[in-house]
Amino acid sequence: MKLDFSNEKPIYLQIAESIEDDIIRGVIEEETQIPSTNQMAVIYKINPATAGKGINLLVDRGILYKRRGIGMFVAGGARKKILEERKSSFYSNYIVTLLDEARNLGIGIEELIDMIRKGDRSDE
Amino acid sequence: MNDNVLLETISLTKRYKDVTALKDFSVKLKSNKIYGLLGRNGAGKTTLLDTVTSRIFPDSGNVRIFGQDATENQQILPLICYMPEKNYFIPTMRVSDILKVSAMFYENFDMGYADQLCVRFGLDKRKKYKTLSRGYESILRIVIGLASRAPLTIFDEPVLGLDAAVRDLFYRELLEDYTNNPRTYIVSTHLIEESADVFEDVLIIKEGQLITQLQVSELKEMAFYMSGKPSEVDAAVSGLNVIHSEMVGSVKISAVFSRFDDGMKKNIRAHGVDISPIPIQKLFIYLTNSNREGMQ
Repeated sequence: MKLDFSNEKPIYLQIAESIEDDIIRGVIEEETQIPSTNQMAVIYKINPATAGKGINLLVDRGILYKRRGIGMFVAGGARKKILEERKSSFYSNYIVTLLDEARNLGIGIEELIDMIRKGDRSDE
Repeated sequence: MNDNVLLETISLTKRYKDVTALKDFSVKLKSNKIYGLLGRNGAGKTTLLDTVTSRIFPDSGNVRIFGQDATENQQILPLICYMPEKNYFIPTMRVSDILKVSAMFYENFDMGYADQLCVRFGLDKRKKYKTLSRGYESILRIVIGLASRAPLTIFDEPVLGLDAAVRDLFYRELLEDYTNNPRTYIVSTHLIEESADVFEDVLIIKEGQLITQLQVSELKEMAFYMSGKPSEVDAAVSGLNVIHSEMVGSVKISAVFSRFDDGMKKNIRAHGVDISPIPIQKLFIYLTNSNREGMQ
């Protein structure tokens, strides 16, 4: 989990997203326990209410669930769910911004597609 | 009495000769939260804390704690641990004796925890108070405040004279003990940037009045710089609460403090205006500026 205190994004959203990232990358597996809000508060030097707010977002979306008296666990199927949600927001979060900036710079669609192909190849 | 209101001040006013230190000051604080008390020098922070703890008395108004009038209330005062900037410990007393005396004042005082804190902060208990450096005086106050486990614990400028590593240790100890033993804290500070995320709510005082009481997360979500072409920036900020403006070359930068939604931001960005967060220390300066320099 990584938090960026200079980021515009509120800390509680960053907490939720970084837990999601860890689930996607398999750092935290389904049906395993995540750190408590109290542990997060001390580790990241943030108010426990802030950590709780982030965790509650994930509970509301069925990504985490509470085992009474034990703590918070990652729900079964959480990874698939997050991936689906991220894919559906990929267009608005990334493609729209990409096209905006390309337009600012006068980069045409064909040129843009070439760049994406090149980027994809150099990753291999 | 409100369900979980722990402390309430009602129209507190306090004057010193020609200075009004508190002006009709009303605030409600809830149980088991960490409050940050922010204000510039002379804003009235210490006067407020001194009044709440019956060190001084207001000219008018009153203080209620746990639903009772708190002024010199023998049932209420032992529930409060107030560590002011200036302590009047006897200079020749040893740290260990000061801790013993403190344990007599606060019924929840945990001597075992105080000992652990002395070790963690490197405070030598055999030392006499008068031989402590400025930093260790602050550390002693921190040790007493934390170990008091008082339902209302108040620190006035607790990190004065402490280096970054010790300040960091203080915030972590505060949070760790708070999570295990919830209580209400009021912490006044000038160093906002490093402590803001420790607080749940902040109170900002200016010229003896409460100007803002908000959750830290709300505060951050309301404060943005808008920069770009002057005409576009002016259009974007119209109707918003502009707290600062300046020109950098031909670019206008306006700081706004208002409630936003993502739609509003998108719309503003679509007009070529850049939006970026205001660092909290800067926000504090803008909000407490009396002459509002650069305002138009």
